[in-house]
Amino acid sequence: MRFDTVFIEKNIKNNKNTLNILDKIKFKELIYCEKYSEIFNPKNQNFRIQKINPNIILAEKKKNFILKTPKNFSIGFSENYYFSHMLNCLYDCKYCFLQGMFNSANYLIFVNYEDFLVEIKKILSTKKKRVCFFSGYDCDSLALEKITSFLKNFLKNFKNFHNGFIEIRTKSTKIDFFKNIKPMDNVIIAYSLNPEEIINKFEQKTPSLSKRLESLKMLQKLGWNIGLRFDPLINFIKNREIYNTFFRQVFSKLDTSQIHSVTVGCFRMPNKFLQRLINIRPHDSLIFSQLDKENTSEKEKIKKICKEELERLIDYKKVFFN
Amino acid sequence: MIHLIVATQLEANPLIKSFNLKKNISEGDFDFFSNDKYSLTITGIGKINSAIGVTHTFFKFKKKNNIWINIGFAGIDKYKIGNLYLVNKVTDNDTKKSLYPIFITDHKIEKKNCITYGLVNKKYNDSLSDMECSGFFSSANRYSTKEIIHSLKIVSDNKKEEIKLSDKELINCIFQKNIPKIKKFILDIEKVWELFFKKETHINNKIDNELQKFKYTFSEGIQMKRLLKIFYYSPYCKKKIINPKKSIKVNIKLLRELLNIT
Repeated sequence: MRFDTVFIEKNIKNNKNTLNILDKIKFKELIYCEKYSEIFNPKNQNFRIQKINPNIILAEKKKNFILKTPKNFSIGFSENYYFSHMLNCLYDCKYCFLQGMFNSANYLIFVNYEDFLVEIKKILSTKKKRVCFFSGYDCDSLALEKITSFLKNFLKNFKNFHNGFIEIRTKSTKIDFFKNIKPMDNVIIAYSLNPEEIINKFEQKTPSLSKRLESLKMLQKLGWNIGLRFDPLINFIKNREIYNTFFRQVFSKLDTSQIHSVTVGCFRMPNKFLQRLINIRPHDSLIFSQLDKENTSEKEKIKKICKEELERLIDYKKVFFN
Repeated sequence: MIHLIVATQLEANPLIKSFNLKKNISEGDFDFFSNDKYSLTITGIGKINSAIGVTHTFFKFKKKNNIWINIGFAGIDKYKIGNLYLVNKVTDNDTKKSLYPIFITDHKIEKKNCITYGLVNKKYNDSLSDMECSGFFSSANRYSTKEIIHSLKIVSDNKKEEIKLSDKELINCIFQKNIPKIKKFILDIEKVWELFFKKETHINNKIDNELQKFKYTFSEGIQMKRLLKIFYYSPYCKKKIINPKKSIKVNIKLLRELLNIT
């Protein structure tokens, strides 16, 4: 992968993960900074312009490594946490909340991977129940693995955490990494899925549905736990027929008995983020303003329809609404 | 609009000629030149002057997200006099704070970091040394987005030699040599502006014109602005739906119905 500029925090310039990343990428310039926030946080920078040609920032995360998920966010575990070793994503989904949350579209990678594991270990040592950790909340967990080697480093230690589970959420079909290691019981590789029509309209630069399904099929064949994430559903009521066909298409390609979990989620975004999104993507402002319309009762209606559809296709105990 | 910010008349002269700018009647302490596309402000030496010059220029036009380019001389230890550099990191020597311009394309101009000094600095090192850059960036970034704010520096001094400020011919010659690169660079930035802000600027002007036709409360103004923005970017934008003879409330309702927005 090529980048124009790599920004590196001075204090991690000799970190082994930093050096490893620099070895794997091509870049024209290397600029040292004191803190990543000097580049990533300032206001008055334009996410959309930067998305044309994002740079990479290598930094050290200092605190808040692992955070609790919102209350109802679950795939069957009673305790749930999330973390992000990276902020921002290779893809360019129109509905992505990251563009409402961050000022910069540059890829920010926290290279102190080991500290995430230390924190996870601390949490697990205090829990008797099984705990789930969600990776890929503020990035795509797999898309930049070739560069970051995060999973390579992380999973070889995570396999020893017997009461810990990790969900690796992705849209990426670059699954070579999983082909080369032994499947782990406490890892769930979860794909965000939407009908091809929605992917074409909303999920720019992402692999097609058929490619994602091929990857899921391959992962299942290799013995990995897989998860399906129908999230976000876009204009579900209007697109009901499209979604029904899509659900049937997805489950017909996979061994449903070997699916770990299925989650369903409506489009949701804090109003503040949505307003920012409308500002930076004015051409799509009408679509976003209409997307915001699903209220609680409509969401309940969607849930009911999905339930009717999905219980025909998979053991409904595996389905969760987030 | 492209705003050129320079410190001295000597640096400004070749640009004024090259961009075909006309002197405006002097306002405040700044000499100001412009045509329908460019403005050039001579701010005086120093980061505070540069920052005030940017603010002065902004309030003359009052348009957000215009292009801002600082062009001027800088010192550096061993690089050749007359070399042109694009600034990729600005550090204020007094506060030690750094700012990072953002580049979207390869401009084929070598990049260097620049340290802005509060007082004349002749102890040159590998960084460009100037007296305006940090003030220029901090101020311009209040009025525009980082990706279209840049600084171009021409080496005037190094450890061995320096340009005599009285040698107008040499200064002109050095600038002239770099003008094609400067113009090409500005053209590149202009393309980014056109891609992201041309339509927006046009629509914002239309919205301002529409709003002038109504009497409205603060909250109605915000609602109407938001709806008009969505409307002008929507496929319905050619419909003649705004009716100034009716109240803003009625027009907000009409827009909501048309756009199917609650």
